[in-house]
Amino acid sequence: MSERETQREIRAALRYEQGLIWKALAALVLVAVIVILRTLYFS
Amino acid sequence: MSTAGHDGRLGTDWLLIVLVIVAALPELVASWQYLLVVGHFRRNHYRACAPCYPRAAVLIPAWNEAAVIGTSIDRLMALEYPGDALRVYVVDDASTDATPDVVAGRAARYPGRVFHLRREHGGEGKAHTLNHGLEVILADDWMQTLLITDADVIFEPASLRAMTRHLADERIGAVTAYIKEGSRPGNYLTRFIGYEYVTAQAAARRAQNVLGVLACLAGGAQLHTRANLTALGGRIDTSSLAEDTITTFETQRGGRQVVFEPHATVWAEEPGTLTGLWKQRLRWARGNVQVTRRYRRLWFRPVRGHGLGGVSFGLFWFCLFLQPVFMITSSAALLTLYFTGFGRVWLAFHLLWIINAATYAFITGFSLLIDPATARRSWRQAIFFPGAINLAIIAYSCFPRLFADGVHAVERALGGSPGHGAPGWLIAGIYAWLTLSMVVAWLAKSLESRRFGRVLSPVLIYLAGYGSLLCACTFASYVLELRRADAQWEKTEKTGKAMVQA
Repeated sequence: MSERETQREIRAALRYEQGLIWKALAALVLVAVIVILRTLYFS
Repeated sequence: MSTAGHDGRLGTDWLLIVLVIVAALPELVASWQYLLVVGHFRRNHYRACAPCYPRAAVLIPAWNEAAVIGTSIDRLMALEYPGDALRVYVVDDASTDATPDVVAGRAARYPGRVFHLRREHGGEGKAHTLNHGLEVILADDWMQTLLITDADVIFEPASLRAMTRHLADERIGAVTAYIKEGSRPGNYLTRFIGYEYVTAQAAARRAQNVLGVLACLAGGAQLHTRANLTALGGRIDTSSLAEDTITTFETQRGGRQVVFEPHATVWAEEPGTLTGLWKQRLRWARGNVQVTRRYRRLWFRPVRGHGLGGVSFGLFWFCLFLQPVFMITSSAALLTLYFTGFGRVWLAFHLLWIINAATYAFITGFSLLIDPATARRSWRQAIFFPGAINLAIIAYSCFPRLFADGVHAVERALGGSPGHGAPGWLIAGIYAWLTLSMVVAWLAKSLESRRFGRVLSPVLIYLAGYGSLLCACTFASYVLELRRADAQWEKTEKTGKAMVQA
């Protein structure tokens, strides 16, 4: 495999890793929704 | 009561409250670990990667692996890796099935690339078998890097080169891959394991990459440089049940880095029965007790050269290792507060479960997003990982008013007074549940081979939680290590159900 192809694969891996930031934020939003619902309506 | 006596009682009560809340520590630390995953985009080893194809020897220990070894060798021969730079060495540990014939057949099909090494007296364990192969492989200069794997592990075509690209950096001593559960069709238990591996590998090992320290190279996919193996004395440790962890620790203590490559995926067949899983995990857990003891002077003592003494790493290690202790302590503290009439025991319990609810939502949500393919298959097991009863407690702790009618109905049915609290035995049972869940999980394992076990055991695991089963196993490992029980190697049975998933 050439240097160029390896770099392309590494860029793809880094894109995936970058996507994890948004996924973590989505999971944190889920927690925030639970906390807000709990505070506003069910406390 | 005198003022001093009152103060003493108050102090004890607050100490008990702290002990209740401390049970949330493993979940909080796990959440910290998941937050570190976000940093993997910045703190990773990819910038030092380059195409790298060292002469690679694959070492496979095999004892009665006729059902799986042929397919595994075929997959290795089909790797996207230069053919003349890849050899497979199968160390046949005195197999009594058709393993020698299968390996001999593959050696004939792939001449000069597949080698059959036979031990006439086997059964000493994986580390001894590996050492037999290492002795042969290190005897000549051909091997530049060694991939240790298991007979049932199926490598995706690009996995090996995804691992070797890290070896372009001479500081790297070893690389490990992402092992996924590959049994098909599988069952509820293999799907639990599939989800567990997202948390224990895809998430935890990314976080460890960020910290620059790895707890364990996966036994089924660990790639070592020749220099690393030589520095380790050319042998795998045979004195414990955790040879993979000891190899990982010694590599890092020697100043060589260890990397987890999440995009190198391999598939393994994991136990499909609670009995098989218990045997495997008890071996791992006992190994962890041995490692904890062996490296007792290393924990929480940061040094230059490796991160094994780091605070975060120590917290990760001990929160898993001591989780049953936290659970039992919390239950005991809650029951003591309840039976001594402490008015705010519900508040302490409530706080504990609010924290648990938040960490559960974050960890489960993020895990399912980290590996969507596994999520599609194991999302039910992800949700029920803590068990249905713990989920009910979480739901009631977060939204008590939402479930008030249902709870009152239960109170009435159980002989309590609606709106005035459940019967005492039920409250005590709920406070003790963290501990009881481990007992129920252990019961599920013990009843599996009984008459109704096939139906009852899965039901009990869904009720008590897969996490509780792992904690029960860890607790059992404390007992066995304290009793210095025989530590014999018990192989996990493989039947050839693992396959690469699209």
